[in-house]
This record gives sequence, structure tokens and C-alpha cells, in this order.
Amino acid sequence: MKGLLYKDFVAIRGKRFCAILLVLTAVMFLTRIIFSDFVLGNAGYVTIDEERVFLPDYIVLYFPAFFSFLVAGFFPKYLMESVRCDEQSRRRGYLASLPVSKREYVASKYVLMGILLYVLYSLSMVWSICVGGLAVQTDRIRDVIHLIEYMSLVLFVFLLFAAAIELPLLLLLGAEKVHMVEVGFFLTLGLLVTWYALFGDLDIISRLDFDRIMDAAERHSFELMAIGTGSPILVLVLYYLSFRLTAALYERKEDVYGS
Amino acid sequence: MAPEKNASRKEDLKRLLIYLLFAFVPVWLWFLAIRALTGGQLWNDMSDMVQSLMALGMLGPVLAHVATRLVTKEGCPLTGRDSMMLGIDLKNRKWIIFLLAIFLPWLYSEMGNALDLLLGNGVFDPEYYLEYGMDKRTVFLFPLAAITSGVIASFAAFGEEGGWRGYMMPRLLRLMGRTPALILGGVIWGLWHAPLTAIGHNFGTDYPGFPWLGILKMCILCIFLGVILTFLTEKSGSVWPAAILHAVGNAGPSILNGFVRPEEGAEQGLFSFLFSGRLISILLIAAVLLILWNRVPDAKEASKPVRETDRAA
Repeated sequence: MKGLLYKDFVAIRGKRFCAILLVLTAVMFLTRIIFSDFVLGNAGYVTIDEERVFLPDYIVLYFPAFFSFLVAGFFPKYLMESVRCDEQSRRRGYLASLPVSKREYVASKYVLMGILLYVLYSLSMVWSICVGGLAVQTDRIRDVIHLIEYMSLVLFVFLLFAAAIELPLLLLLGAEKVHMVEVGFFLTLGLLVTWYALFGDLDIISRLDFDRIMDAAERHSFELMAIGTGSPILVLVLYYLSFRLTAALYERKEDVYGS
Repeated sequence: MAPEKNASRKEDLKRLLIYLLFAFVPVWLWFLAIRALTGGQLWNDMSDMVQSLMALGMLGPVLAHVATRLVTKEGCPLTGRDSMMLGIDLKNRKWIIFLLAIFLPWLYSEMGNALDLLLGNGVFDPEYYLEYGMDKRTVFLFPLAAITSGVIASFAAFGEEGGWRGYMMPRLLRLMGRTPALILGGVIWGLWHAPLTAIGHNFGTDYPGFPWLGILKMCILCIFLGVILTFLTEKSGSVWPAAILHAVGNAGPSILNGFVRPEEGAEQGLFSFLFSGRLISILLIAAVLLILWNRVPDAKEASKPVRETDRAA
């Protein structure tokens, strides 16, 4: 299993990805420290509605969310790349000569994606803590950070769910076919978004009010907690079932080592 | 003592001292720096975001582990002999260890609250949860929420366990017998928490003998908790059960947390402070595990040191 994981780590250019994460973390820290109350002092304050607000906080605050979505965008690419590399290099034929079962091969894909998501989620939490902890402590900042943390959980649970759906397709149908389906899906989604932007009711976006969202969150705190607690468990169970199904089908698949 | 064994003991001691230097100095500086940035606030006066920022120091031990391995040129093997014990192996009934890691914190937390009620350290208040602005249904979600957050957000606890159980305890166990190693390991771990205990992180500030008795109690708690964590690590060959247990325990998995109002402040006597329900429940579980220790097979490979003769072979 160790060897299979390392093979995939190299295939997805893991070292380069780790370097990108380190650079993002360093940028986050430096930006946070440079644009902090301790460094800028009064220069960063503006008065809005008779309230003195430290403006840089409201820009830097969204960095964890932005960076989380950025690295999350890499995830489907790495998912595909880990399978495509094996297909293109005909590595599976070589694996047939090693004491590696088809089940172990499938398990290595699931384990790698699970580890990747765990590391990315942990890093997004560390980013949120650093940005929030060094901000001027107000209720609004706290609410924004908590919302970002909650959305990070939702994002990574969604990515795990997507992996549970996509990995079986990649392993059973092949990377090229799945890539075509994905391109079609995202093109359709993009067309729908463009259509809505041109002809839809955009006033909905301007009517979004942060305070109303936070009030709603407080009214439905139990439901949000139940979702936040239950959905990761549900998706983890789904991920495991996806692995069992994929492994069972993959073991029956012929000519996996020739492709 | 054979010369080879003596040399390896000296090597282990040297590496352990380097590790302790890396684990204590930067982390204590971090704690002190964050406290200075807040103008010397106590723990309960800090916002939850500043508390989280300070708690990032919990990643220190695992970073110290990595730094020590780089400095001592031990390498960073993830699994196997003398490794960082990052692997997960569920075979040979090791999955039971992982289940224990998930459910033991719930058990000792509920037991602890029940004992507090019996000992008079707490009062049953059916509406205590309302003081925190909670829905009653939320209280019953505590165990599940703690287990979920413990497993998913275990990186913070992994930061500690990756160092204490992943590096320090295997070397202490090799240097001395099990009992002295568990006691010394717990004292070291407890003292490491001293800057946080001294600002009220673990037990608040309103207890007799603050902060010195708090630091003593922390050392005692860490000894007993260390028994449980070391048991899980040795029997699974992995630091992950310890990280999960630590994370779930920190998340407060007890339903009774919403209904037991703790006795605090000047009314709290020395005995009730030192022998809280939680401490006694952890002690009981640690005692059971000590009895079972030799009856449960352990994953021996991970804790054995790699010798030069092994490398040559």
C-alpha cells in the first residue's frame, strides 16, 4: 500500500502541490501580519456608519475561503490524474507482476484521496484560525470566520462525496470517458449560469444580507449542527460503500492490466 | 550492561533531550507571544478565535518530532520499526483499538459527570444548557458531534500525539520500565501545558492554589491519560487512535455537560478540585488498561529501534 500511495503521490506531482500549499500558507501569514492592527495601527481604521472598523480585516478575512476553494479546484484534477497516469504509462501491466491485488490497487486510490482531503481540510482550518485570531476581535469578524469554517466543512464533505461518485467511474470506465462527461457537465453548468446572468433575476444576489443569514443560522442552530455532524458520517459511509462496490466490480473486470 | 545496549540508551537519551528542547522552547514562546499580543489576558477573557490561535501551539510536538528526526538523521519513515507510526492497520483485531479510541472519551466523560454529582462537585440543573443559549436537542447531539469533529478535525490532537506518543513515549519506554516511563511522560506532558494552565485554560482561575495546584493536577491528569493513550498507541502501532481519543475527549462528548452545573470558585475545596469526577474516571479506565496491558498483543515492530546491524542486513 505504501508503494502504491507513493506512486500516486508522484503521479499527481505531490511535491509541487505541497510547495504550492506552503507558499499559500506563507502568503497568508505574511499578509495577515503586515495588514494587522499591530502593524498598521490607526492607519487601517475607517469610520462606517459611525462605527470604527479595521478595513484590512475585511479583505484578509476571505483569504482562507479563497485559498480553500482554489486548492479544492485542484482536487478533481488530481483524482483524474492519478488514474490517467496509470493508464498512459501502462503501469497496471507492471503491477500485475507484483504481489498487489486489484482490491489493494483500488484501495490505494480511495486512501490517497481521503488523505488529500483530510490534509486540505486541516490546512483550511489552520488558515482560518490564523486569520481570525490576529484580526480585531469583533462579533462580525467572529461570525464571518465561523461561517467560513462551516462552509469549508461543507466544501470538503462535498468533495468526498464527489470522489465517492467519480472514483468508480474512473476506475471502471477509464479517465478519457469520464473526462468527456465532466467537460459536458461543466459546459452545461456554465451555459446555465451565463443564461441566468443574462436573463435571470439578479436582485436575489443584492438582497442577500449577512445579518439575516446569521440570524437564520442562530434560529436553526440545531438543524445546522445536525447537518454538520451527520453529513460527514453519511458521506464517509458512502465513500466506504463506494470502495467496496468498486473493488468488487474491478476484481471482475477483465483486461485491467492491459489498459 | 552490554556496550551496544549502553550506546543505544545514550543515543535514545540524547535524541529525547533534543526533542524536548524543540517541543518546549518554541511552543512556550508561541504561548507567551500570543498572550503578550492580547495584553496579558486570561484564557476566559480571550475571544474564541484568539484561544484557537494560541491552541495552534498544540501542533508543536509533532513539528518537534520531525525537526528532531532531521537533526539526528534518524529519517522520517512513516511506518515500520522506529517510525513516526503514521500507518493505520486494522488487521488482527486492531480495529477494536480504533473503536475504543472513539468511544472511551464518551464513557469517561459521562462517568466523570456522574461521579461529580455523587461527590458533590456538581449540581444537576435540568436547564443548565440554557445559559449557553443552546437548544435542548443540541445537548443530545454532543457525543455524536464530538466524535465527528474528533475524527475529522483530529489534526490539532495529532499535533500533540504525533510528538508525545509518536516520539517521546517509545524512547522513554526503552530507557526505563513501563511504570516510570508512564509517570515521567505524564509529568513532562503536564508541565508542557503549564503556560496555558497558568492562564486558566484547563481548570479556570478560581480554584485553591491557582496556578500551582492546577499545574500539579494537570501533571496527574496527564499521567493517567497518558496510560490510556500509550496503551492505544502500543497496541495499534499507530498514533492515530491516540489522536482520535484526544480530539474526541477535548470536544466534550458528554450529554451530562448540558445538565451538570460544576461547583466552582471559593466553595470548591482542595479535595473536590484535585479529585474531580473526570480525573477519577480516567484513573479507573487507566487502571483497567494497566491490568489488561500484557494480555493484549501489541504491534511491537513500530516501537523497536532500528540498529546499524539491521541496516547492514
